[in-house]
Amino acid sequence: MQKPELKKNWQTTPEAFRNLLKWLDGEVDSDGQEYLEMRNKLVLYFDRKNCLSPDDLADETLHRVARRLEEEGKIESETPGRYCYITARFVFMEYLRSTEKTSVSLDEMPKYLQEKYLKSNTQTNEKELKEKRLECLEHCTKKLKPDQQKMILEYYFGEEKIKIDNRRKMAKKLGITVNALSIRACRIREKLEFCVGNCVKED
Amino acid sequence: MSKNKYDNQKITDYLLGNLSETETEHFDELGFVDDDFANQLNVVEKDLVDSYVKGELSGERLNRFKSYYLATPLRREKVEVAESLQIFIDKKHSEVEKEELVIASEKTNANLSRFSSFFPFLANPKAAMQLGVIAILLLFFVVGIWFIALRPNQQLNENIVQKTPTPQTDSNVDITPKITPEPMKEIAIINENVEIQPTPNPESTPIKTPKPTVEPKTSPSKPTKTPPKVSLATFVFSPPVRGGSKVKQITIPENIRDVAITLQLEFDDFQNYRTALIDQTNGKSLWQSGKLNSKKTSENNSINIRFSAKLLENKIYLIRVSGIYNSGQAEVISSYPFRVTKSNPKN
Repeated sequence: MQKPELKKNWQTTPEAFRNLLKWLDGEVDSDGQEYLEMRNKLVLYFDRKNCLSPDDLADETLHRVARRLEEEGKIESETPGRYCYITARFVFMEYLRSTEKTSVSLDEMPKYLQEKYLKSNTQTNEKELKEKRLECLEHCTKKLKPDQQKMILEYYFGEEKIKIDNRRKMAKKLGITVNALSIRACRIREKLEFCVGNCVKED
Repeated sequence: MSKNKYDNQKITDYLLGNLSETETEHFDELGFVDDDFANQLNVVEKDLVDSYVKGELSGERLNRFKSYYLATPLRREKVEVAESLQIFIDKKHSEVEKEELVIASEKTNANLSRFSSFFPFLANPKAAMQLGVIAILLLFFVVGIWFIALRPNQQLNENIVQKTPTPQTDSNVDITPKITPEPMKEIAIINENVEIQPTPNPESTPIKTPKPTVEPKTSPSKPTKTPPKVSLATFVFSPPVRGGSKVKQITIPENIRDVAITLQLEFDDFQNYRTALIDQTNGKSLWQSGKLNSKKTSENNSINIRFSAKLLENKIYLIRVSGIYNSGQAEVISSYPFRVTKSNPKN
């Protein structure tokens, strides 16, 4: 059977987006959580590949998956995680080919782009940003539950041996393994960092 | 989740771009298809960044971190956030230490001033130290005397107790049977006639209750009372895996009256919980529990629920667990999806 032709200028319609969410969810409605997690995995993947715009590439990947779903009706050959990974690899290879063709050195960039690039790397606002981040950390930590606040402050405190001993004691106290503790602490930290990220952008 | 099945060293090498292309692709894929790996990757990355921030990296690893890891804006931002977090945590700790120090010194001063008003010579530290040493020596002396003087008496008493004959049990005497209290009484009563088929899914394994160890003897004068027929299927649901959409399968015989489920909690942050049974096909709430408390078990804290088996058909359901704040407000904390298959026990 001949496969339907891929439409290059296809736009993600609300219906296609709903289908994508449903496909990522499987049988349980996650209220968009699965989509956000998959997008985050894609952003991290492209970032680990040192791509310049991981967000755009993650969106492009999900756009292609949505298009495939629209054309085929369903994707049953792979799990959502694996299918997204396969698609992301294609997007990455295309990205590599395009950057080979279009990459320019900083000297060859137009002046306004040079300024933009340099501005993003300057440290003029660094001090202000650090202060803002500390304020946001204070604000966002208060939003955590008391035991989560305690965990963050204890788990990430100390250096080398002190830190390791401290974590062992914490895990023993909670009756869980150090590995389970580290995953728990990491999730709370992610929650905190997410809040701090939004808080910093607010002003 | 309990054991670390991936090599943290390898994950660090992956993050620093030190692995071969094949290994890198393998890890890339695992990041999408294996939630345990994704969690571990996250933990290792945070530890790596923290080590850099605290100046714990050196040599080749430090060079690699600077040249490879810090190459993208997103990762540089992660380092900046980690720096701020470290400053914040250190600041919080020094604040707590200062507070504790102030409280401790205030307490010591208060005690000292109260004490030295009775014993003015204690204000001199040298005299206080000498007095302390004398007190310790005196304590050793008293304990030694007690040990020498009282120990033989105690041994004598022990011998007397051992020599007292124990009453012999007459084999004809009817001994009132001791019935061992049923473990997990709330959830684990299963009709003896009902055979519950264990499902292959390890996450939702039915528990069979052990029978009482001693059966009570029935006297001939009293007619035997048939115990009420209670049939209950019990299941244990482990905490839902983040990002995983695996639906637990449970098989319930048609003649089961009630279903009891132990919901293991990933975090036990609330004093009270509420649960609801939701029909996943139409989103309707079929049953709701009252306020529940969590119970501590060996691995996780858990909550136990029980509802009529008539509520369930061959469908997918969801148990939604909400934590209740002191204000009375509830927050959905997790959902346990499961698929029900009803089976005919005669088959």
